[in-house]
Amino acid sequence: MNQTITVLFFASLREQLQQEKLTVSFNPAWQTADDLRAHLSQLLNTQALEANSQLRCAVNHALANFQTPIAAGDTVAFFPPVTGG
Amino acid sequence: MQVAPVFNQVSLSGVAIDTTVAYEAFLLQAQGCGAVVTFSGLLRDENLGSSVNAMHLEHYPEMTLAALQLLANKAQTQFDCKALQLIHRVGLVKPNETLVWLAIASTHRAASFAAAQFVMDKLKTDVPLWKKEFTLDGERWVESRASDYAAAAKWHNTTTEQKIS
Repeated sequence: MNQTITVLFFASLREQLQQEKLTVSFNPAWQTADDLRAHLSQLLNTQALEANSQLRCAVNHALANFQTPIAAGDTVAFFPPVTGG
Repeated sequence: MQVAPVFNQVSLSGVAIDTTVAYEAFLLQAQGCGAVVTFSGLLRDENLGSSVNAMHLEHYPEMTLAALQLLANKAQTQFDCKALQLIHRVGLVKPNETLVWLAIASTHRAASFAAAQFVMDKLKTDVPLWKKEFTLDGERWVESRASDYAAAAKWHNTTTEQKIS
């Protein structure tokens, strides 16, 4: 059984963290995307993952928010506000 | 005249969009409609006081197309569109090139005009795409604008008991 989470970073966040993708072990205590965010913030020792209006996320390729539940095997992406169109 | 079944197509293009070819093909899907509205978003050669040489559009491969499809489906639900096509560029775009092309057909014009505004407003907030400008002063990421979020939010406050047609 897949006990990891795949993390993706995009755009300016990717440049700031100098990471495009990483795999982390899933901590059973994690319930939401925010739990993962907090963990990564510490792991990468960065302020770029502070929970503010400039940070968005997706879970399993669908737009989510920081209260969205996560589970082992999920893909969670973090990115700045989108600017398409 | 019987209108053909609904045409709904979204796509990403890594190369320049030929809007003339796209429009001619779209008309074939709009047979029987009385109205066609198209929108082209163009890359301006100047932004925030700097000359723009090029723009790179980053996307999220597993998600961007699905998000565009979701948006197109929402437009079909809220507005009586008979045909809808959306093409969005990804990758490198040059000034004055088309970033996004949208075409909508409906029996009468109200639905097409409204649906086009809806799609463009929601495209600004709901689809994973990020723009990076290459200017004479260096490269920078385009920032989202509060006005775009306000425009998208406006649609949440609009309650329509029936589809706009």
